[in-house]
Amino acid sequence: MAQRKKIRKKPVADLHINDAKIEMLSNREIIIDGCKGIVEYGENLIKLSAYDLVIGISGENILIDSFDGGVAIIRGIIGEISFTS
Amino acid sequence: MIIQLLRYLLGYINFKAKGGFADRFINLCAKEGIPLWNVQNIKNNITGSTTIEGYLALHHIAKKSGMRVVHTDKVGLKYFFRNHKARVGVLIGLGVVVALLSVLSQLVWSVSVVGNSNIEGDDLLSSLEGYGVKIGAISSKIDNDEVASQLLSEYESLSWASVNMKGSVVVVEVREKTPAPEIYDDTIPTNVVAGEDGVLISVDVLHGVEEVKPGSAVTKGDLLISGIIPYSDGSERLVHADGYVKALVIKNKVISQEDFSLFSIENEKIRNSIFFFGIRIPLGKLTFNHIKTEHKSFLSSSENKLPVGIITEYGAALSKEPTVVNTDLQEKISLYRSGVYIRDLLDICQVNNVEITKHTHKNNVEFKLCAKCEQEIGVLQEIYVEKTNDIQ
Repeated sequence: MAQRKKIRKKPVADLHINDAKIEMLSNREIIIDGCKGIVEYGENLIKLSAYDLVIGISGENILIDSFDGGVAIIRGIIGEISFTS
Repeated sequence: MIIQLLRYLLGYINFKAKGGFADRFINLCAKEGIPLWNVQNIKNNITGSTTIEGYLALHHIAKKSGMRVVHTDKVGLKYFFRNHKARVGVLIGLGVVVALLSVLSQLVWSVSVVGNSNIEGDDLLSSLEGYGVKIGAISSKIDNDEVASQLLSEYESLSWASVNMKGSVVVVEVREKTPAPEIYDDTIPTNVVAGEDGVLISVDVLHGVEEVKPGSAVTKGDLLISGIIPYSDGSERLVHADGYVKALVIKNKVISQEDFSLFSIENEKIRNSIFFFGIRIPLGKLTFNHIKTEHKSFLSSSENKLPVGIITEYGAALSKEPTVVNTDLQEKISLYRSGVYIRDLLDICQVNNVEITKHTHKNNVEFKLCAKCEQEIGVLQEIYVEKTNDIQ
């Protein structure tokens, strides 16, 4: 009983501090928080490194709306998202 | 939206970067804190936007990533003014329009009164003008409650008033009092006497004693209905006599040229004035003021009249001596005056027949009117009673 209480007291945010947070708005916009840099930037493909992951976003008319402070906002018609570690 | 507006106000540069490594270029920009937006890769050419300061630092980063940067467009308020430097007049005009609109939106554009029936709307509007509620007044300086209370204190026949401001339009709503019925004092003893000479047609007695019969001729002042009621024991009681007495009355009237004078118009002038938000700018002088009329024409939208327009004034001077009128014109004027007289008669009686005879004497036309009318001739006459204190 005492052990169970200890687990509950641990802050939830701490568990995911080294993970990228991804937010999507339909297939038009994707916000990636925790982005370390751009690995590849092609016409229809953007690959971003986020901690131990490489996130690949492909689609049409893809553009980087902003990339500042580890937050990347990518807009366009997103067709596919891939994750490689 | 706000960010876009800020970017426009501060200014930004659209650029194009060729060759090298696009990913490295963007990563270095992020590392150096150069803001980039709308970055797109089109056929291995990077297009995007950055701030003016950012663009200056961009060349150094481009060199590191093997790219060549060129600006494609400069956007912002600063560049807009720079591009339109030669068109100073347009910019000044734009500024004047904006200033004018902001000033005019603070002013009253129209004042209207609703809900009045007996009080003339023009009277209310002129009173409102005295309180500062007029076209061209600053709307924020109008105290609605104060104006409403001033209006109520000036017009006793108003029961309620409210001043409503809808943007630049002032609508004053009023309600008039329902007048109290006149209290008929029937305690004063009266007779009904004839107010005109005539032959009686009908006598309807409401209270009192009938003294004359239909068909009898009466002269002005004759007793028609008595307010003294006699009793069989010889005593009398005074009452408030009342009734309807209708008589056939003949009214004679002579209409002659000698009764009036005609003056001719010697000088006349028209002056236009520009009316702009209560300010009247006269275009010329108007010196002849014997006759003065004015016509207002304002610009109007679908529903409202705008406080901008032209006022046309007509002024004229009359001749010092009366004009000699020929017999034809005299006849026309006399006929017109006869018509006016008969119209006025119709307000007080029923006109059965009018005979008009024309007499011409030494270039003077004279019309004699003889109107046979049915008229209510009964007039109340108080019976004076001397009060004595001999009752014991």
